[in-house]
Amino acid sequence: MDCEQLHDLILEACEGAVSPEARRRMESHLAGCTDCRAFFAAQRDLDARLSRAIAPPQLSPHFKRRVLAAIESQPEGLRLGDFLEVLDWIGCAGLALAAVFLLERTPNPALYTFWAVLAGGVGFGLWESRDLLRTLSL
Amino acid sequence: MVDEPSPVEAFERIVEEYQGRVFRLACSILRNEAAAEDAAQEVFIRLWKALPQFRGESSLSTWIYAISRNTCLTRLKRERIRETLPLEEGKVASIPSPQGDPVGEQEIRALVERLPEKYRQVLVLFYFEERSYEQVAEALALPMGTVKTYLHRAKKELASLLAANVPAKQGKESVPWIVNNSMI
Repeated sequence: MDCEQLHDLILEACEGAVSPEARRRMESHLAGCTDCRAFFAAQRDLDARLSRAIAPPQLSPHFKRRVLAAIESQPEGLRLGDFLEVLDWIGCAGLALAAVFLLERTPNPALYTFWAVLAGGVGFGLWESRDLLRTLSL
Repeated sequence: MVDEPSPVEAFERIVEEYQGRVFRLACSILRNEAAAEDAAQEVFIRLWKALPQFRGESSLSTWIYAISRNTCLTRLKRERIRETLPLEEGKVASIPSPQGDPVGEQEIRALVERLPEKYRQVLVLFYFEERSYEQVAEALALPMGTVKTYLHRAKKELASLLAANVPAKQGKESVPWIVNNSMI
């Protein structure tokens, strides 16, 4: 194991994420390498300083209560989700009606395939837009 | 027979379970506790509105983290746009040093701030999340290997800066996370 590879192992060791076997390999390398020993000491010191300097922030104790109060004060109304559900039904009904209408009116049966593909494409497009709207609404 | 929890009760459990993680992620992105708490509240309100559409295609935590990142990044963009506008007199907040903060820790914080954003965020979140690679990977939607790589590059960079004794910039950039109290 060369020094460069050992540096990653040293960093993981400082983060407490190496197996006993890897630690043994690291210690055996450190015993004979001054540069890596210096790197290890520097990283161990840095890790301790980072742990002190970057303390997890504390959420205020009333956070949950505030969220629940905010939710209760949300106006009841038609949400985007409800609107999309309505669109689903309108879209499905519209497609079914269009299909029946076209089948009855189309004089040339060869055009059936064309209309079917077109209707399928429009339906697929509507469905995808609906998913896109859902994603954007987040 | 056990009664099913009401939607509000179920949501309350979700808030209970995820509030800390959402808040810490928001802190790592926004670097300000008050702004992060506001953002976390917005995340849960959006979540409440969107829950009926949750179809379980991804895990709940993945979904919550995605909403959290989007909310924070939107706020950050809005903030940057506002920063380009002329500031009104008296609206510039001074950034106090936390009491009892040793100089060494201030210096470290200032150096962390000089890291490239993607390294900084991984490093900060790693210590916020009590050294969990998994939590950081999930919160930032990064592969675990990438988290380790960014973390190690950040530490090597910090070690070089410390070894070169690079002076930290003073003023706003020197203690960016400390607006209300000693967040980091």
